Amino acid sequence: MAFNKLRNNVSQVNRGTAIGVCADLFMSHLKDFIREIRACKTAAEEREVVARESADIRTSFKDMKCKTRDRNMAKLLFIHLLGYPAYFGQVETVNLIASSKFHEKRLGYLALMVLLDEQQDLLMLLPNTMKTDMASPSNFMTALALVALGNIGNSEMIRDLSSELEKCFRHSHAYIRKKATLCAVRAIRKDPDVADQYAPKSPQYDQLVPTAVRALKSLLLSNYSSQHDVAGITDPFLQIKLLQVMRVLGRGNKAASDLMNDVLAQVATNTDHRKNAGTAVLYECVQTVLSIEAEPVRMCADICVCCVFVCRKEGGVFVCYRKNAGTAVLYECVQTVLSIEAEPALRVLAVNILMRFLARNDNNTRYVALNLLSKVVTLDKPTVQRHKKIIVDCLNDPDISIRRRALELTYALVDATNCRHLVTEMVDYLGRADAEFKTDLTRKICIACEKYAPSKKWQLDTIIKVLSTAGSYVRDDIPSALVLLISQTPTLHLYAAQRLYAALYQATHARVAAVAGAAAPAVSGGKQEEQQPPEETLTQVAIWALGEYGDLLPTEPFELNPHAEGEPQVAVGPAELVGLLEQIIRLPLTTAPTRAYALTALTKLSGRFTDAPVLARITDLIAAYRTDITVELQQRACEYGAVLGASAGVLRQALVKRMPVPDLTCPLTRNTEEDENSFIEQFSEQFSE
Amino acid sequence: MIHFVLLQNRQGKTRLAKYYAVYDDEDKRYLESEVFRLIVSRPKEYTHFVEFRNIKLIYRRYAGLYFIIGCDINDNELAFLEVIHLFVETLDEYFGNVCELDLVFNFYKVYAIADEIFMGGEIQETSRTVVLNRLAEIEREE
Repeated sequence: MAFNKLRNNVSQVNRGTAIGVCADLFMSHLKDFIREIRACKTAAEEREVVARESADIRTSFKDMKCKTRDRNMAKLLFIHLLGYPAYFGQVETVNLIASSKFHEKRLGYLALMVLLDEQQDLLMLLPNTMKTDMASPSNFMTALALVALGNIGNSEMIRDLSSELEKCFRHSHAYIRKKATLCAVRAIRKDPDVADQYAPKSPQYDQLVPTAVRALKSLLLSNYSSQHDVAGITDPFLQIKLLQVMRVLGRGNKAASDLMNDVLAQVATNTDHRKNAGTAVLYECVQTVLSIEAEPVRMCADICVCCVFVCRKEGGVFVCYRKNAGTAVLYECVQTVLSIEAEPALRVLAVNILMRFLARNDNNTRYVALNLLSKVVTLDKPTVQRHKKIIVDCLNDPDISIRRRALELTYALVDATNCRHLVTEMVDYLGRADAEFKTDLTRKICIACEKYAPSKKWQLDTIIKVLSTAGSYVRDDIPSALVLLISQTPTLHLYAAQRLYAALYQATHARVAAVAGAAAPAVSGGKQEEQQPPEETLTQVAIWALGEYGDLLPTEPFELNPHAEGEPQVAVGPAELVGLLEQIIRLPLTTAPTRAYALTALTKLSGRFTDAPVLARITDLIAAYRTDITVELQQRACEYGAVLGASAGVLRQALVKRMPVPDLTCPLTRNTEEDENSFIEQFSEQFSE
Repeated sequence: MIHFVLLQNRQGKTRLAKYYAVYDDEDKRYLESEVFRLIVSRPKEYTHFVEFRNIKLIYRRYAGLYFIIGCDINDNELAFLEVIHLFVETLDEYFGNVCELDLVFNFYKVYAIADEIFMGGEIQETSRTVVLNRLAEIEREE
C-alpha cells in the first residue's frame, strides 16, 4: 500500500491543502529550504547550507520584531531533525508559545516538545502562558497546552498547573478530558505521591469491575465499526487495556474474578486468532487469566474443548499460519497456559502443539511462544521439560531476540535432574554466544551449578570450563565462588590443584606460543595487548589454588587432559610447579595483579617444600622483583623476601600456613548489599583473629 | 509505556523522532544510530521485536521506511505492532497514498498526527476518523 512509490517526484508533494495566504507563504519558504538541502550532492555542501541558514535564523531570533519567526522555527526544526545542533532556538520556542496567533503558538509547542526535554530550566518560564492556554475558551489552545504538559511536563510544572488540569477533567469536550487524564497519568508516573489528588479518595475499585466487564462485553458484541476495526476485531487496543485493568483489579480478589470469568472465556473463544490483532488480545487475556483467581475448571474446560477442536479440525491453520504470521501459534500458547490447571493429558497435548510450532521456521510467533513458555515453566516444569531439546535448539537461531528468550527459558528449566545436560549445553553455547550475553550467561551457569550440581567435582569442572571459555566476561563473584568452593571442600583440594595446574599449563603454553608467533609476523599483536587476555581470571584462580594446595600435587601423577584418550600421566614435582609459575611471571603479557598473585603463591609454597634448590629458586625469583617499577610488586617482593629470610624464623611457618576456610555462603546465591557488607566484616574478623 | 517513536529511512535518516522518556540530545543521536544499525541488519524473516538496552523495540518496515516503537519489556508487542500499522494507515489517509517525500516536506504535520495518536507514552486515540477530523479542524482554525 503506502510508500510503494518512492520516486523522487517532488512535484507530487505540492498538494497540501490551501489554508490562508500566511500559511502558504510559510510552507513555500520551508519547502524551498528543504529542497535546497535535498539538492546538496555532498555532506560538506549540506553542512554549508545548514550553517548559513542556522546563522540567518540565529540573527532573526535576536530581532524581536521579526515577522518570520514561525517560518524560521520550522526550518530550525528540520535542521534539528537532520542531526544538527539547534539549542539556540530553545528560548524562541517560549516566545512563539506566548504569541497570540494560533499557528505560531502551535509551532511553538511543537518546537518545545522537539527541542527541549523535561530537565531543562527553561521550562520554568512556561507555566504562566500554559495556564492561560489551558483556561482558554478555545479547546484547540487547551489541547495544545495539555499535549505539551503530557509529553514533556516535569513534576514541578504539573504541580503548578494542577488546578487548571483539574478543571480540564470537567471539560465539556471528551477530547480534552482524555488528554487531561493522560497528563494525570504522567504526573503520577513522575511522582506517585500525587496519586491521591487525581484518584478517588477511598479506593472503591471494586465498582470498576462491572464497568470494565460491561465495556469489554460491548466491544465483543458490537457490530462492525469501520472507525475502530482492526482486522475484524473492534478496537483491540481498548480490549487490551481493559484486560490489563482487569488483571490489576482481579488479582487476589475472588469476587471480582468471578465477575470476570464469563467475559474472559468469551474473549478466549470468540477472538479470531488468525490475525495479529486477535493474538494480541488473546495474549493479554491469558495473562489476565493467569493472574486473577479465575475459576479454573470452567475456564479450562472451555479452553480444552477449543484446543482439541483446533488440533483436530483446523489442522490446516497450522500449515497456513506462515501467511498471517503470529497467529495460530500464539493462540495455542494461550491455550497451553490456560490449561495448566486442566487435565494432565490435555496439558501435555497443548505443550506438544506449542513445541511443534517452536520447531518451525517462523518469526514473531516463535518469540511470543517462548515468552509465554517461560511463564508456563514456573507453573508446570515437567511438561515443558520433555521438550527441552527444541528449546535448546533455539539457542542456535540466527535471530538474537529468539536466542535471548530461549536462553532464559533454558535457564528456567534447569533443575537437579537435568543439570548435567542443560548446563553442558549452556557451557557449549557460551563459546559461540554474543558478547553481550556472556557476562549474564556465565553468572547463570554458575548459579545453576551452585543450586543443582550433581557433585562438587562436576561443579568445579564446569566453572573451570566457564572461566577458560569466557574468562574475560565473568564478574568478580564467579572466581570468588570458585575459590570458596575449593577451600570449603577438602576432598577436592588435590583434584582442584590437578585440574587447575593442567588448565594453567595449557593456557601458559598457548600464550608462550602466541608470544613467539606474534614476535615473528606481528600481525595480531596490537589488539591482544589492549584487552585483558581471556584466561586472566582463570590464571589468577589457578595460581591461588596452586599456592594453597600445590604441595599435594607430587603425591599422585595425573593426566593433563582427561578428555583425550591415551594421554600420558605426568608427575608434577616441586620443581615443575615452581617452573610453571616462573614461566607465567616472566611472560610479557602477564599483568601486574597476576604477578602479585604468583609471588604470593611462591611464598606460600616455600613453606611446604623442603628441597634446597627449589627454595633457592623461589628466593631468587622474589628477589628479582625488589626493584620492579610497579610499586605493589616491589612492596610484595620486599615483604616476602623478609618472610623467607632467616630472621623470620618461626613466624614464617605461621604466615605461609593454609588460609582458614571461610565460613561463607556462595557469593552468587547471596545478592543483597547487606550481605556484601557482612562478607567484608566476616573477612576482617577472620584476619583479626 | 512507549519510550519513543522513531521513523527512519533505509539510509538511517531520521524522519520523525518523538521521545516520551528523558534522553539528552547527544544520547538521542547516539540512540537513533544504534537503533538503526540494530534493525537494518535484521533479515525480513526475523521477529519484529528486538531487545535493546533495557527496553524493547517493535518495528515494522513499509517500503523504505522503518517505523520503530521503543516500549517497556513487559508491554504487549503485538499490540504495538498494530499501533504502528494504525499510524501508517492514518498517514496514508491524510496524505493520500503517502510516500517518504510527503513526510520530509510536511514533517511538522507528521508530528501533529503523532501527537494525536500518542501522548505521554500511551496510546491516546485508536480511531483514524477521529484523528483525521481533528486535524482538519485544527487546519481550519489556522
